[in-house]
Amino acid sequence: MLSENKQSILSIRNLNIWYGDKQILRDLSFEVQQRQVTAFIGPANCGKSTLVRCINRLNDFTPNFRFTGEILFKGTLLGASTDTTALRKQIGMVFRKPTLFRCSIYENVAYGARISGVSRSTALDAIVEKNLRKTGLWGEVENILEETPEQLSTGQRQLLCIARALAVEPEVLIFDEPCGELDPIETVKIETLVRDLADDYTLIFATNKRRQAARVSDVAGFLYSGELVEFGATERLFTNPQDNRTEQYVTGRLG
Amino acid sequence: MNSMTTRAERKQKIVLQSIAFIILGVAFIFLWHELKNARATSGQPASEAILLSALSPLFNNLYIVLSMSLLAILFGIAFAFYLEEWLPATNWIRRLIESLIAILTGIPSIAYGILAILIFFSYADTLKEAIEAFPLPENIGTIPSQIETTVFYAEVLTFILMVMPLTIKTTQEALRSVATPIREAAYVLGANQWQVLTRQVVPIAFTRILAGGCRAMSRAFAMAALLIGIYTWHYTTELRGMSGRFILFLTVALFLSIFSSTLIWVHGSNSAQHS
Repeated sequence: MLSENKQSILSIRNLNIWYGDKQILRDLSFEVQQRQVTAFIGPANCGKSTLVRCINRLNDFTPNFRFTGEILFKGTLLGASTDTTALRKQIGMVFRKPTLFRCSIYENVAYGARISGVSRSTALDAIVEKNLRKTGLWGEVENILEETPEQLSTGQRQLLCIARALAVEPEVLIFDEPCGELDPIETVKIETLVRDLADDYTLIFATNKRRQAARVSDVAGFLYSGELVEFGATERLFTNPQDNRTEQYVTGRLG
Repeated sequence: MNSMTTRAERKQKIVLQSIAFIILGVAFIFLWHELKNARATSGQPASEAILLSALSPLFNNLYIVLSMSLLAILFGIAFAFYLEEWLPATNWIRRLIESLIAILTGIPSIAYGILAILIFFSYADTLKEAIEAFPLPENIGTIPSQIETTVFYAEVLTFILMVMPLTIKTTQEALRSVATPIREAAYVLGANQWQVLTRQVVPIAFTRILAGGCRAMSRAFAMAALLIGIYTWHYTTELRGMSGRFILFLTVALFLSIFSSTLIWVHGSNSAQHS
């Protein structure tokens, strides 16, 4: 599945992260290729969320957070002077729990466009329809666009969150355990969508379900207690792991 | 490891609370000393009742109490936004101010009335002059020009110390009640801090901020009513002798208090439905 013409969009070099005195991640280095699904697997509390939240600088809000190492997005080093709002428009994120704003379904999807200054209703209509179609939610919510999203199921809410994130037109989309609260049928929908989106976007996918990572990702990394044990093509990682711990994890004996 | 950090935090909290306590203690002792000096130089011993009676002209004007408390509430809300949204939780100035607020909100409102008189007499030339300025209940409402500025200082300081801490505390709690996932959901869409505040945080926290402001204002009116009550009761014990303003202020205080509780109650049952 790895092809040569794809180029690196995100490089992380020697990343160390601490919360206070506690080290969460130890010396991580990897590259994320464009238009691929890169998954991070590992047991709970191994630092998956911390890692993915580092990429769009969401950890800035965590007290006592500090890091060393380099994070390069499209060749630019992310430092203290980085414009985080501009960065987050390029790197979207979907959380485990679908959190929607207390406004209509339409306004939820239009949020990103509105804060960027789009106010013409025809332009907003087009953005909302396009992104709801992309997630396959358009048919279900077409007639209830002006109503609040409370009546939607958890799976539909998560799809709406994805549509909302896509409406900002990011290049990279981070999924932090997007199926953590969903039932199997809804999970399949999200997984199929993730595979489809990989044609146009670079996706980073954190999950603690190893089979799920095997299904959706092109490249996978195994994190274990803050260490990136192994990183490489998903097929190889699952069929022929190099490290003993990876083998134990993917076969279900560890974590 | 976790218990170590919480123990260190607790230690820091105790230190900050003690510093806050010492600061406030020194301030109050200083004011008390000033009052004693003022009484000594007046050469005329005054009864406590007369002392208290001089209080009421400070707070007998509806518009002054209303505008002063409104101003203090607005400043309090602005200050709470600054503390909660701009200063990091680990900032020691923020923690010291929070400790001071925790102490100040616990003091009953009538104690602030006493504080007002302490400031009032510290700035007035002599006690005699101050008392002579307000000899009879009929004169409630007229403030002689020579002590106008004194009255102003006393009022401003009292409202800052009484109304602002309560407003800051309730506003901070309202802002904290907005869940982190809502904020993060907006941030990851590329919203800046101002957009997150105006589009997500304020709409959710608004009712609680408003209720906190009403509660603080109710407290100001209750204190003013009490001071007027003490003043008039010093001259007459008859019900008819009660100042109309006393009734008015007490009614306003009660109304604001009930209004604030109703807001919180309605808001609570609303958000219970949503989640």
